[in-house]
Amino acid sequence: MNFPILSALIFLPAAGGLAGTLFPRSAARMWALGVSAIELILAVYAGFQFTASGAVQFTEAQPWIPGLGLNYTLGADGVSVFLVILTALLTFTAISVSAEVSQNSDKPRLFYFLMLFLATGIQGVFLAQNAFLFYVFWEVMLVPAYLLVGTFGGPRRTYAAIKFVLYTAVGSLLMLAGVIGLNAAVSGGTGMSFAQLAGHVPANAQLILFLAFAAAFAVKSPLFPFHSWAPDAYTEAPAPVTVMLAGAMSKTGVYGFLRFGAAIFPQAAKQAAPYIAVLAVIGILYSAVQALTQSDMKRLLAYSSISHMNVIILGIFALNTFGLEGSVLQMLNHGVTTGALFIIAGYIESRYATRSLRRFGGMARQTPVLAVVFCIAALSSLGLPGLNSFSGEFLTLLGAFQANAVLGALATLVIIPAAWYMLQFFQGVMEGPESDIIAQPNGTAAARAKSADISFAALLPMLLLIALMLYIGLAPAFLPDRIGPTLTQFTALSGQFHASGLRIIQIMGRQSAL
Amino acid sequence: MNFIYTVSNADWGHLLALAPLVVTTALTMLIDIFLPAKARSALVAVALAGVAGSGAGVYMLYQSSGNVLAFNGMITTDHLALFGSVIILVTTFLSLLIAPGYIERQGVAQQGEYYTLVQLAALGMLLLTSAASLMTIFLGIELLSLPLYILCAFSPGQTKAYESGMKYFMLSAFASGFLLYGMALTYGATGTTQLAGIQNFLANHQFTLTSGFGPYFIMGMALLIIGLSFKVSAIPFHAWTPDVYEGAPTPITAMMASGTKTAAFVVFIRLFTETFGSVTAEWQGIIWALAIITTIGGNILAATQTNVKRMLAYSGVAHAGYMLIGVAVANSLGTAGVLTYLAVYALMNTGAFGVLSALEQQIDTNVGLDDLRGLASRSPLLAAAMAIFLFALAGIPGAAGFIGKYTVFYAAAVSGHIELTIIGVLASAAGFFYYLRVIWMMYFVPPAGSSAESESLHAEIISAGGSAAAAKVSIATAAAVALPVGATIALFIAAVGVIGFGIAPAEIIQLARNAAGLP
Repeated sequence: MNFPILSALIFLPAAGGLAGTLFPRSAARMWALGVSAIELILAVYAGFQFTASGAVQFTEAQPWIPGLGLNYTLGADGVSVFLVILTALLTFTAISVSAEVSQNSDKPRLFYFLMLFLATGIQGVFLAQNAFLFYVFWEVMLVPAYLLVGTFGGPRRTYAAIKFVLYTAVGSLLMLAGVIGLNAAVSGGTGMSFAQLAGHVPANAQLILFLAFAAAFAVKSPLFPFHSWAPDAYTEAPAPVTVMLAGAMSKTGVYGFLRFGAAIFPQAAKQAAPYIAVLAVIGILYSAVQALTQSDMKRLLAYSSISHMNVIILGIFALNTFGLEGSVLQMLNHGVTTGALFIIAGYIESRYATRSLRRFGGMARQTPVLAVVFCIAALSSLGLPGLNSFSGEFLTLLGAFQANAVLGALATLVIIPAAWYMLQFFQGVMEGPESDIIAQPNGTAAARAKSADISFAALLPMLLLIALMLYIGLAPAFLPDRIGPTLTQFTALSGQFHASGLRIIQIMGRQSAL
Repeated sequence: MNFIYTVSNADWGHLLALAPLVVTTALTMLIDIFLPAKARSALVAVALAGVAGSGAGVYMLYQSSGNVLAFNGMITTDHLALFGSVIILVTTFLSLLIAPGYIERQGVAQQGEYYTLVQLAALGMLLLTSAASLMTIFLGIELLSLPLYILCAFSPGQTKAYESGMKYFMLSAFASGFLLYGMALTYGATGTTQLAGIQNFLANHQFTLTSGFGPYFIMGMALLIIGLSFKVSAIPFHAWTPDVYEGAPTPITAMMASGTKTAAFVVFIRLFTETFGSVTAEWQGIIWALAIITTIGGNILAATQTNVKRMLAYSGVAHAGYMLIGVAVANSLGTAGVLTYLAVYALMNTGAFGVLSALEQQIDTNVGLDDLRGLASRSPLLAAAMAIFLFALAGIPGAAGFIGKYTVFYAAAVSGHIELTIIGVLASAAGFFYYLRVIWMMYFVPPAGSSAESESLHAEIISAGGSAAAAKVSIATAAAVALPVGATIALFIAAVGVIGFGIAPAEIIQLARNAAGLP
């Protein structure tokens, strides 16, 4: 009866990936796709089994290192269960658009193994129920991410990979100091489990411990000014890897902020919240303006992604109902939308062998279907009502406004550049007169193939994400039922949480559906 | 003072761990005479059998209960000794497995001498871990050092090897002098050479820095610290390490790096944490400072190296620093941390040197960073093994090195030395840089001459990583690396151990805690 579904979710990708290295190269992709499909099915199944309450579910507990009082404890709550599904979904879509990367490399098996291994690390972070295990999985993510960027990336991959690893390593080593400090600070026997940590961290140790943890989360999210590795890594990594990094891995950072900030170090989070909020607002606006000036489409998306991630951080550190609810919704939405946009950019890049926005124009005439998909993803990113991001971003900013009107107002300004760069990107590529590379002379078979619209196989992963954008946008009621109670538990300590904002979304959803 | 020396029959039983190696050492010398030159590589089997026999002896001693002291308190077979012995035996075993292919490639004719000396050095290390008296400690140190002087200079016709042997001999002789002087003063102050006696004496006698036996004792302790710091290559007594490691045959380097370190750290723990445990205040500050300097200095020095063997040598210095943190906290928790660290370090470090020795069979010189370029394309499994060892050395969870770091840093934090935790953790950040640089050479850079792109990329890496010496490209580095059977087995054992103990460290931590006297 007690099938350890969470352990399966965590270790299936890595085990499958390892087994995949035994197959011939040509089979590597199909095998990895199969593994990630099973992972997705398993995650969705867990999502359906998850009952709408604040309780931590599917819990597993095993003694792990009795000598140090450490246990292997897993569990899913209303936040992590959706992040797990998101990760499984992005792993599946990323692997399904990886054909070109693996064909152009002499190490395809390594590529798929690392992709799946990365998924293992991310799932582990979301499902760990104690600080030690959380840290272990956190560091496990580093290895495949580093190797993926460095081995399979673009011309400046070494630079991007080293920058990524040094930023992340410093952050996570500070977190290691925090974990050890936390272990020493709370009395023994707790095994640092989240349930027992909440409310039991001595007040005088909270701030320093929180800052040690926050260093790691700030880098991974990335929070301004710890973000500078991200544009390089997101740009240099091949599209599927970027989907994993920007779509799934970045969520571990904000999840950490939520988990440790709001639930385990509430006093410290309250103390630090104004400063972090200021950084987040600067990050939101700075990255949006940066995105406006980029000529490389992946770099533009990278900055856009960072800007939206800072919105999520701002929502968390509003430390109120609207902010927290909105930020959790936004974590999911950002994953879906960013994933779709990076997949589209990757497709365009592989088709025309360039990412330079100046060289594009008038693509829509050749690829009307892609144009529609792209348009929906772009509108989702800029927060159009009826699509997924609207309700999340709306609530987040509402929460930020409640916490601090000035910061909230400043952050809301981002709507202008966000719409501007995204529409500029879309129109620049799809509309207007056809540019040289698009209007190629007819004749060769390759050129004719180019002028065809996107194939159904390439479209499928995008459609999956687009469908989700519409679904969350129109019928988001299933989310609040599960997220709300969990958040109530998380923040019960601060005593200021009422699951009311999510009701608004339910109502909004119903109205949009009408 | 009358001294009655009696040996009971039961005493001989405590030599179970040493006896098999003594026998096979003698056998190796004997068989060597009768074997034709071509067949001498078979001697490795004799040596391996000896190590395995000693391992069985350790297991029997572990099972037996009762008095752990033997030969009038000269030798002990407590759990600390047995834990250290196991590490040394595993290191020796792996080093022996790597050796045959390597020494053949290096053109070593005297294989009999080689295997004899390796076993003698292992015997010295084992004796050192079992030493319960200042006399046996000195005996052990000399027994492990003398064979190593010769082994360091064993590669024929290489100036570096002679330099290595000579340097180790000169400096080690000095260190032994310090150690012996320190022992003499300690004996003079306390009136006994037995560690238990010294511990007893210190517990019952007050002393100050200026009165009574205080001055002799303090000076003796300081000299003991110097002598042992040399053996564990703590800064500022580390200067010999890179040169000796670089010039010595790589299997010997692997054995020295973790075997000698293990033996010396066991003595460190026995002398300081246990014997001098009641006067912690007198020595803790010095070890504390040594730990900090060694941790920071080792990492910085390692980051500047372009020769992989020298990089690993300096990284060994850095790891000695982490272990010293465990000694500096001066309690059982710290001891358990050091022992755990030593165990995992033996696996990952011997593994890394094992990969290097495999590479050295292909190229004539020492392995530079540049010789590793594109290894992931040429020899994917070898590169994967090296990556595992390097990630472990860097302290990534999932690999065993992290467990060592965690136990030591945790001991420091719990014992109220959070500053040591923070310094250790931050110094590890530098470690990421130099370990991952090797991985980037293996994975991110294509093999030499594979494509036009590689040259420009290479230039970029030189400017980014600062390896000017990496400009030479040898033809040999474009081919796959042939791996002898023994080395393959050794690397497999080490890699499985590193991953296994990384994922399921409960047992090893429990054994280390028991050895440190914790539940």
